[in-house]
Amino acid sequence: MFISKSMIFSTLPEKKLKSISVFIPEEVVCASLEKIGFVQEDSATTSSDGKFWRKMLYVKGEEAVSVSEELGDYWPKDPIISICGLPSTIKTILGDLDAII
Amino acid sequence: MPSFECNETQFIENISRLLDSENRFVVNRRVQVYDDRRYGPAGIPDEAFMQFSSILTRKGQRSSVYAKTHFLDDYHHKVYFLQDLLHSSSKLKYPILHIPYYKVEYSFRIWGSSYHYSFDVLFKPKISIEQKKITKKMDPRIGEESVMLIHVLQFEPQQEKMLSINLPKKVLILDFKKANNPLEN
Repeated sequence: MFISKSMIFSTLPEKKLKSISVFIPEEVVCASLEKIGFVQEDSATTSSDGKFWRKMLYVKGEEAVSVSEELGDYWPKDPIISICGLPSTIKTILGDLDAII
Repeated sequence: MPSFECNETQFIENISRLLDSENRFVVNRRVQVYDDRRYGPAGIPDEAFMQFSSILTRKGQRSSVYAKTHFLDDYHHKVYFLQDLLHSSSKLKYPILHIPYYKVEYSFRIWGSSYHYSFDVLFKPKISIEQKKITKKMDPRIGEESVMLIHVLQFEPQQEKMLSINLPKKVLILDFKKANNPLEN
């Protein structure tokens, strides 16, 4: 049976969004992303809500995760993780972070 | 029209909920470069200041910043000399050396209310030693035009992927330059 490319793509699940803030150090979050195949593409210093952040962009194929951590001396550290990916990827990332907590 | 300011998590989660509820909406985005002295070297945290540490010195965040060596700010075409005051702790709002940035504003409107999220992305400093032509225009203290080896500070704009929120392709994003509604300006 002939299966066209568009037929394959139409069966792929749609990407979903998830953004959370977790009380886990940024290094642990990044290591967890790298473990499942995400690669850091770039980083930037950003400012919002009157605070400075280091924003790192992780990419795996068409999926992207940004990790933003507030800069400066403060505690506790709670980086913001924003995911645009397949439901299975979101589930894996949240599961990994849950296991760390 | 009510207008609500969100943080990153709130804004993305709001979009996620709207997508799940299959509502139709458009996300508006404005990206503009600013160089209005909003960010100076005294105000940035230590982790960001480290990128300037080969040419600038300070005791801590919100302390005065001085030049550690002569250097050329290639972005603004200005030369600074050793121990020049570049950002005074008593004038934090008026840095002499300042960092350009992109202001990124996202918003969407639904059921008569608009939801906003904005953030600034600072240009990346890049410091090198280069042979440069130094002219009187760059600083009135320069006697004669000359070519010299000097530290050069460049500000590099961030790539577009760092200026955006990653959203699924089915979300329609429309870019704009200026909103006519004063509430959105």
